[in-house]
Amino acid sequence: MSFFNKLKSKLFKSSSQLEEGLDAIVEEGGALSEPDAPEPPAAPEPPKPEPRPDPAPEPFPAPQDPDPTPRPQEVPDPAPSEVPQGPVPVEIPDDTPPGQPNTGGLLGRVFGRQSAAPVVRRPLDDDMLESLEDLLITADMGVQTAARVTANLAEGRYGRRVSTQEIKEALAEEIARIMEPVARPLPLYAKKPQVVLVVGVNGSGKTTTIGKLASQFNAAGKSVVIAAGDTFRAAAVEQLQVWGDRAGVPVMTAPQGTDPASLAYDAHKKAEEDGADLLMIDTAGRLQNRADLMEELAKIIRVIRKRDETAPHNTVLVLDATTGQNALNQVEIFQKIADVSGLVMTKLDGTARGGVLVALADRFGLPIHAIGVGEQIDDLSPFDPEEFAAALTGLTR
Amino acid sequence: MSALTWKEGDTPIVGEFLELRQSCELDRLNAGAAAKGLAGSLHCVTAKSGVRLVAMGRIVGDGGMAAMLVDLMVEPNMRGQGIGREVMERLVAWCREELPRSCSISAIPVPGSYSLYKGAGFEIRGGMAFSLP
Ligand SMILES: Nc1nc2c(ncn2[C@@H]2O[C@H](COP(=O)(O)OP(=O)(O)OP(=O)(O)O)[C@@H](O)[C@H]2O)c(=O)[nH]1
Ligand SMILES: [Mg+2]
Repeated sequence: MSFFNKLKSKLFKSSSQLEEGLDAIVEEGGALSEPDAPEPPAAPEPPKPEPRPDPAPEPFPAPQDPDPTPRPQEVPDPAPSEVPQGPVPVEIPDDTPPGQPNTGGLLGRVFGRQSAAPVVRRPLDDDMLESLEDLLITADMGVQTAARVTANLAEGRYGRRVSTQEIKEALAEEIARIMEPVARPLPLYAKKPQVVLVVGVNGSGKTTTIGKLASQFNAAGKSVVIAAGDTFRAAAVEQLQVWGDRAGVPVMTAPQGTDPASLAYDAHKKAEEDGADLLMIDTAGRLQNRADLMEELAKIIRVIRKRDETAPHNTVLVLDATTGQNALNQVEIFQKIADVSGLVMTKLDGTARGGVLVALADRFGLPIHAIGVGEQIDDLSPFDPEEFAAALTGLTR
Repeated sequence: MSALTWKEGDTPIVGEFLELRQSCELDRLNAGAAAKGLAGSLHCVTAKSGVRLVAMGRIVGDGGMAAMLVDLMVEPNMRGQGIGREVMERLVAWCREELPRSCSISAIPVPGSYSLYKGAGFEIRGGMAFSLP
């Protein structure tokens, strides 16, 4: 299964909200680009929800192909009642030959992109820009980033009549442009052991991510040692041991309540003695307002520097993508106490609105090393800006 | 039905919030206003069923003298299971924990939900409000 298919089916499961919104916006003020198209004699209702011809679940419109035959697509039916007082109910005459399945109405046609098919277009005016900006905000891009993206979108297009497809492409391009510089895998250095400190609020997915990363590095021939620095909860140590076993990586533990800084110190010693390439240090989930836990993190860093003053070489902040805008605050808070060098965004399989990644990239420019797309050990993917942008906007490629 | 996932402190994503409002048949809000409002929360409690936001409530205010409990919502088909009460209890518990003793907490419950608020310690006082057109 290709990454994109996996991303499509896991990320934004419920179909991209942006996609639906974009369709609605263009339709609302849109008109068919073929003025001489015959007025529809009130298109007949599609004959029931037909069974999908493709047995494989395909949450997105299937990729386009040059084949000019209309392809059946799973798209919402533009029921006239859903078009909020648009000027003209935009519909095209149903000229589907009898016996052939209805292709899902207008949107099916638009997406089918027959060379001669009429396409709904709408002038890119202030109204439309405002709707677009609102849509980006609802997708969690944040007010500032949404405004910036919208402004960039308007440049060179203002006043032009645009189709949904064009807007999606432009938006995807704009998003990919913002995301491109931050798509960077975890950098590997010659330093042995390279110390990777993993931080984040509780439940963000630190321990799971360490297991996944360790497994990937292990598979790539790197020797890894994990330090179970969350000595706060007994269950946390066990959890990490389970993940370590899965990844085939040794886990250094200490009894509950041990100073995590001294565990980190010992783990570094062991990793060095073993000649390990990487030392990954898990930490307790700390609520931002818990000053003591924050101090504990600062202490881990101080102590590890006694063994290697260049450590930690990476401080990875793990953020839960379903958290929304608070992810921005978390970056700010962790940046104050730790030198955050990169991000891992988890639970992208659990949200239809990954817009916060765009806001993060726009605001902080921190590298996104990987994205979590599930709870299993191989559910960690590199971050691909173009595929992300396409998935977010519902662009078919 | 899967168990609900409760979260404290994080505001929901603007789109989720607007969808929940819509399902509760509340007036439409501008997305920018919602984003700004959510970002200004003192505290927020959310409940999700899978990936869907089904209930929430927020505390807004100056954090010292006056606070207000707002946006207490439960998706219509999830009502009658005590979810609203749990949101309320979590919000009030947070207020007791985090706000100064003399802080006054107000709310404007929709008719029909007074008992929920009374149960949490609210009492009826005179008040006024209006919304900008
Ligand atoms: N769906 C999904 N779930 C994830 C992902 N990453 C982590 N989780 C789940 O999120 C929950 C918390 O993950 P943990 O790895 O324990 O998080 P943590 O940051 O170590 O938590 P604390 O140690 O309590 O601070 C677990 O149920 C994980 O299975 C992901 O990418 N997708
Ligand atoms: Mg953990």
